[in-house]
Amino acid sequence: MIQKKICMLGSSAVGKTSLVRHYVDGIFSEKYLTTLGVKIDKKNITIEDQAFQFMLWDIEGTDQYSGFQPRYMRGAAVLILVTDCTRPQSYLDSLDILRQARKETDAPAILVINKSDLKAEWKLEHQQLFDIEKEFIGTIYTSAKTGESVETLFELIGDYFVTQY
Amino acid sequence: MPIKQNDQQSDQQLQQLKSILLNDDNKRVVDVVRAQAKELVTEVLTEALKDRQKKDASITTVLTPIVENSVERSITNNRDKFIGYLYPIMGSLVRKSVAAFLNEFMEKTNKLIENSFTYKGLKWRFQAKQANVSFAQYVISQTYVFRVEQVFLIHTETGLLLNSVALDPETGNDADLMSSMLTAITDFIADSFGKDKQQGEGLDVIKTANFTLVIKNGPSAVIAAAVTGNMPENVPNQLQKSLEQIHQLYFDELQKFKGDAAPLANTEQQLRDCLITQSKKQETNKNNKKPWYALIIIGIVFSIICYQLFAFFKQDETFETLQLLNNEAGIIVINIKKEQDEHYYLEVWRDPAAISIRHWLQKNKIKVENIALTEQLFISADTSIIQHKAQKIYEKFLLSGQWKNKELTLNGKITYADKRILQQELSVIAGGLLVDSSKLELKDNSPLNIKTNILLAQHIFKEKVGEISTIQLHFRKADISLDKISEQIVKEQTTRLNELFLLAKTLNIEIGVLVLGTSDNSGVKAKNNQISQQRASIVKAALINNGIDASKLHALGVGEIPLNNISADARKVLFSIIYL
Repeated sequence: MIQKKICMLGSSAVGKTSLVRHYVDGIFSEKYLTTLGVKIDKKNITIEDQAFQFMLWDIEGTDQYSGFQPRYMRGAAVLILVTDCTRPQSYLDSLDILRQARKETDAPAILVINKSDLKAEWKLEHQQLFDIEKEFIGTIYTSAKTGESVETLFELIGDYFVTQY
Repeated sequence: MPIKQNDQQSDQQLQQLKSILLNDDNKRVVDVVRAQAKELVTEVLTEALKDRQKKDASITTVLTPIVENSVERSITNNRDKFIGYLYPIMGSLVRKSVAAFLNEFMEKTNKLIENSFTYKGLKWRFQAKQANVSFAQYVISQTYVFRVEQVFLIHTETGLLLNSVALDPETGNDADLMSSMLTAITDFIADSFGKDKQQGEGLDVIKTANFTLVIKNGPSAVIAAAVTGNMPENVPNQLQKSLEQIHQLYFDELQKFKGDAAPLANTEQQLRDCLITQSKKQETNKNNKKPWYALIIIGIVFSIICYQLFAFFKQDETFETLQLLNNEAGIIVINIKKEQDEHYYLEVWRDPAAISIRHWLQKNKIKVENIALTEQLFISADTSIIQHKAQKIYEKFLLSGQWKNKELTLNGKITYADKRILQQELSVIAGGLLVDSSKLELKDNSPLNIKTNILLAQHIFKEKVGEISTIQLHFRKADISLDKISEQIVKEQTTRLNELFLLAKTLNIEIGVLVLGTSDNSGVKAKNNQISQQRASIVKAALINNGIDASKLHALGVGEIPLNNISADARKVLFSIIYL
């Protein structure tokens, strides 16, 4: 079994914690998020006969008033940048967060556009698509509310690791 | 300047010389060493291994997995051989293991009882409740000075779990999550309180009310141990030692770690070295004592089992003893039923002459009050019962008797009246009793005092006459011989006749006995007459032979008896008394 550390990042209230709440095994309460700034869950998945155990570091949402512990990024195999399709600012924040994270890690990042069940308030434009291609290894639309594509997100990450071996 | 030039020249010459001697890359020296490598290594191998083992014990660690693999392969390939080697020692191993198990069981039982029922146990329960921890945890905290409960080996960079061991296997389930969170916590503390990164790495102890977390940081891996109780200095030292060993032995694996912890599975040995426990001295002393509580409880249980077994066998014994009643003369056991406790229902038939059931029970040590008895009387044909009954009767008359099965020959002296009573009483006994009273002597040859009771004597005389007249002997067809039964009847008839003669003499009556032979009506009449005469004569001869005066007897063959339903089978000898 291969273990991988995966960090989930994003600005406040984009739904990072909600996104994986029903899809992972955890023993820690969410109060750790507010005290330590991180909560760790685990997700087991098998891709092409290879078992993976993802240790998901759900890192507290950052905004203009609070930063995050860059140390938490250390050793991450993949970064998940979560944005909210109803808040254009969240996308800009994610780019900013990614920039900060890059000081600690050069792990590949995936862009997750959450709340796909709601009406999108922003769309990826040409420049953004260009940026994304540069910064992220993939983009996926998810809904924490309906569970849409959450499993697909983990499978995508698993596929990525399989191609690495 | 010339000096400097000289130096340079010397250096160059030295280099040239070196090059000639050693060749490029010291090839000559290497070649020489390589050629003798085997001898050189052989010479120092043992000492080198010994020194290295002494230095850091790493030889054991390196050899263990190799030896394990070798042994495993050897066993797989030579299973039969190993079975042969191991077979003789398996028995003693099993015995040792069972003995160890029993010892452990005794100690555990003792501890459990001690903890459960004693004042201390109750106190601990109360205190555990107050401290809001489980009783088991509290007992451990009170029993051990300290216990290293769980040890984690964590990858420094990623916080991923490389390996973990735990005293209680159930506590190791979420070790992966714990190790990541622990990394997060140490990161958090290092970032929050550390003035700089180097200082931040120094976090090595986290203390809570219930346990202490000891952390030792290494360049590639972190070792963390959860310790309950008061941790001594040697625990961090052991952690450090194990961590160093792991770094030394698994340097490459740690460097190349990309999420697959399988190559580090063998670090379990180093981690297990960290699972140190120390019992409290007081408890240790106690353990050396005899486990009295366990012994007492086991003793009580053993006694109860013994008592139950004893009671069971005793009941069974009672049942078997009661069945022996059947062997007693005059007693038939109809039913024995075991009821509750030691009580039995017993149903018997008993001849009045047989031993009383109560007496028999007492004789056989069975409590009479435990037996619910239903008894029905019956007349037994058992020889000993008949003998017993008869004996009771004849002993009353101060007579003695000789037995041959159910045949009784009476001896002694008796008055005539008593003899009559005796005969009457004996005649009541059913079951085939035969009495020969011919050897009885009548006292004074006078059964009665005739003068005082002549009427009674006359009555008895007539009765005797009647009695003698009722006797008949039966013969088979065309047969004149006496069979055994007939001989017995003749014998008894002799006794009666003797008595009658005595009575007659007393009463001054003259008597004679007619012995009448008869025949059936088949065949020639003359022949039948002859046969009837022969039958009468043969009985007369038998009576004479038994001591009857021949002059008192007259044998007469009367031939056929022409009476309906009689004539066909009238092969008889009859007796008739004629008296004047």
